[in-house]
Amino acid sequence: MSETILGMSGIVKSYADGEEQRCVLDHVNLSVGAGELVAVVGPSGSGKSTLLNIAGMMLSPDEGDVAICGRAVSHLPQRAWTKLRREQIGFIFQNHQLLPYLTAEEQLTVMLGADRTATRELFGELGIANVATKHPAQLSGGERQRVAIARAFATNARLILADEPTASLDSERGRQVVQMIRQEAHQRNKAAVMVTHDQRVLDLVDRVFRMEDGKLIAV
Amino acid sequence: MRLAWKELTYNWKKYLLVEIIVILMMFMVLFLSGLVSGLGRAVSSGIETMDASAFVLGKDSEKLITVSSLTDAQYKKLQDEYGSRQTPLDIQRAYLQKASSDKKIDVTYFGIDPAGFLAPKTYAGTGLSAGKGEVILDDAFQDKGIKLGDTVEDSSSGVKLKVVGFTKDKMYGHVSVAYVSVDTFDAMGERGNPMYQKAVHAVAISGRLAAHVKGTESYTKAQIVEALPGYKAEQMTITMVEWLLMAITAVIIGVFFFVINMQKEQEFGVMKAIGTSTAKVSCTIVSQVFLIAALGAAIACGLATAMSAALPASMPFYLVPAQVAVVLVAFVAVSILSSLASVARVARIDPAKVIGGDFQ
Ligand SMILES: Nc1ncnc2c1ncn2[C@@H]1O[C@H](COP(=O)(O)OP(=O)(O)O)[C@@H](O)[C@H]1O
Ligand SMILES: [Mg+2]
Repeated sequence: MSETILGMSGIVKSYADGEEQRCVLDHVNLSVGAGELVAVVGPSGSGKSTLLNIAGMMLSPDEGDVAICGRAVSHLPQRAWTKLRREQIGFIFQNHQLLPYLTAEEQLTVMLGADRTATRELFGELGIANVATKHPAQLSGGERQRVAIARAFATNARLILADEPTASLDSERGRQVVQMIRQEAHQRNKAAVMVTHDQRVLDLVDRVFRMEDGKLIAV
Repeated sequence: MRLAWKELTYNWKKYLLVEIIVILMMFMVLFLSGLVSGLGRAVSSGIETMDASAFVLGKDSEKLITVSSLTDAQYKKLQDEYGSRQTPLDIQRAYLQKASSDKKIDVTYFGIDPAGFLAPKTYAGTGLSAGKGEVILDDAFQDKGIKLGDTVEDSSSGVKLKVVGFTKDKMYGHVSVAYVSVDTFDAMGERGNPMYQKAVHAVAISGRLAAHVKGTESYTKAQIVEALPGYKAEQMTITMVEWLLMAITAVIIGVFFFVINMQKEQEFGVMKAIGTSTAKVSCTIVSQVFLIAALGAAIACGLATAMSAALPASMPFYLVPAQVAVVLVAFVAVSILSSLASVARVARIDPAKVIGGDFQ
């Protein structure tokens, strides 16, 4: 088997729900290797985003360990998390979440310190070379999401995390987006985890998991 | 810094409004600053511009030259002690009028020794000669239609004074100064009041103070100026308003940015999620406040300087560069302090909450 990029074992997370504690993640294990695109499906409120936030070091689990590129990270201090997020993880959010005051290429160069030529090249690959100097407000929904994808790919992070990246797109554009993530994972040997509602893109992924009652089940 | 600037220029309309308010308020602050100095000079420039470093007054004079008097023996001792480093000074509020008119004009007489170091520099005419009946006027009297060579009359005594020169920037207690010789001063006193006691009010000293003369008290020039009637109260009141306004402006910037940054919580959450350090986010906020405050201060300073040049000389408005610099630097510093409220709030933003999918 290939190198493990994301390893989550025994993850428990519960939230206070009124008086009670509601266990959203109940001893979840997930391991994703390099060159692999994994999809997580499941009903709304089942804890998919929570799982992704823990994998992305934005939320600490109540129990369990997270390892990225073989390195245990759960015990590291907050500041180290921020640095690791920048260096090791590329996020793609449901709504592009681009900064409105930066042009498309500045989202990568100014925010992440990406090289300008490399950014242009990446934009070319994703078919958005023509929008490099435009602000998000001037872009179409699909273009915005592709800029957001470029941002996730820019730092050469080994782990790509996408939370419903196709939710705001029509099915054709949604499919294109998933194809781009798949290609990045396969060609550049990255690990990608995608939360999705869209059954029609599941043929593009390598493995599918289902989140239900706090458990993650392989489909 | 770069990020801060990009955001300012992208949302320039919003920040321009903030900037305009800052400029207007800082302009008001500098206007007050100019007024403080201007009014201060109107009260004290006659004393302030003297080449004296200290004054020796009679006991119980409460630092007021007008009510002080030295005995002949004290004056003699002071003359022996200081030689040419001392010179007498009498001060008296009075009225004078043009020979041709009954209209009384406020005046403060400075009785001096024409040969001593208090003799004013004249920019028109000559100095006082040793004789009596001559006067050197502050140039504000020119606005009242008095010209070089005219004869004016001291209202209470009727003593006639020939205008032999004009000097600049000499006021005392909001009233323009007229310089006469000590002899002329005494002559006016004797003619105006049969009970007049001829005595030197005070002695101005140049250089260091020497041995103390019994029955006298010595004060520095600053102490004498502070004690001028109205000086301290006026200066304190306006200075307080000035600094209060400065602080309010700085806090207003802080509040503006607090509200603006509250609306950007989503953006900050995203920045943190993609690994922007809290230090960099904070730095962005502080630089924005710094840019707005510093730019506003600079523009307000330019406007105030332009206004200072445009105002007529008779307006008590005078910008002291050092004072302007102090208030502007303090303003920028307090603005940055007030921006820390935004920083504290933004530092606590949890990226997971901000982008955590459905749960808000
Ligand atoms: N910060 C939180 N505090 C309390 N409850 C939360 C919090 N975040 C998520 N939840 C709850 O946890 C459950 C899972 O949320 P989430 O992971 O966003 O689900 P999904 O992404 O699968 O829709 C939901 O019931 C939600 O209400
Ligand atoms: Mg979700």
